[in-house]
Amino acid sequence: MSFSFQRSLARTGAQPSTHRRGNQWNPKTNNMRLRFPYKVGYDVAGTIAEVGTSVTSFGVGDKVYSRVPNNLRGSVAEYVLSVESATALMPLETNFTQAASIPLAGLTALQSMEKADAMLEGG
Amino acid sequence: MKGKTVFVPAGLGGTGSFAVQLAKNVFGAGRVVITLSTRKIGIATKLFGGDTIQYVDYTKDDVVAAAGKGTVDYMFDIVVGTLKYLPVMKKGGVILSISTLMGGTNSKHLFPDMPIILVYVLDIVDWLFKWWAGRSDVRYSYVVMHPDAKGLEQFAIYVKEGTVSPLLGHPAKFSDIYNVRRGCQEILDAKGGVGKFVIEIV
Repeated sequence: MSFSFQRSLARTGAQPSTHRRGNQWNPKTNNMRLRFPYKVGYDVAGTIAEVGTSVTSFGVGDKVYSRVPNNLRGSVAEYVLSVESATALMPLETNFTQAASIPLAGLTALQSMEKADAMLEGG
Repeated sequence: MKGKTVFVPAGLGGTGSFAVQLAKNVFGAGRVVITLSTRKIGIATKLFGGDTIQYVDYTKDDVVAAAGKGTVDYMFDIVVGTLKYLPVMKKGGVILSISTLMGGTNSKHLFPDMPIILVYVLDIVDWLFKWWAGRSDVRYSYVVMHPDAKGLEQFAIYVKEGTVSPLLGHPAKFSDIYNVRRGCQEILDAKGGVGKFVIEIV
């Protein structure tokens, strides 16, 4: 899906936001109409700069990685917002660059593998 | 999945390289078939090892014949190969796809503004894929990843144990616009690159 996103971004061209934020369906092209500011990126690895009051698993300074939820898309940035339920301590055997390559692709592969395993074993 | 045959077309991409390692090292697949182009076979052998992996050079070989008709239990479709590669599937096999068309109901969830007629059309397309695969006794589904901390914790353990290693293409500094563009173009073209493209911000 991120693929077609990029394609539609290239094709329709993102337009400056006027009165409305977020993305709309464009009935003329049957495509997403993307508006600036449009942040990209779902994967992130980094050091926690700040946590909300309800966060219990992590603290400032923890090295974490995350596949941010769709509504928080925009990990190509210096500061990224994510939620506890989509974040984990990153493997310390890797550097940030390696860790950032894992979340979206890794979870996609893992969840598919688990589902296929269950379907094959379940008959 | 123990001892079974898994087929990952484009097994050296970002998602594919994780799938291959998980199938082989975590889920105990007996044979993993991957497709790739000639010059990448060296990189793949180094990352995945030789045993249990069968490398098929899609630029030279007939992929279906090389993988073997009716021999695959699970195909992970990253490259819209569901229809083209259906003959490799065993009866009772499973195809999970992230590359064909998402069903309308799932799409609507992601793009709430989507017109209802398109939701129907996409649901029908999804049903057609299921039906077509079903004629060969194969179960097809489109899968949607969901962000999940537990899965990431599990992945950190795999990396620590060395069962799964990330594969990087050419990471680019955010300030290096030339290479950022090149990396993005490679992904868009779905050719030339290996593994994940990472942009380094800080």
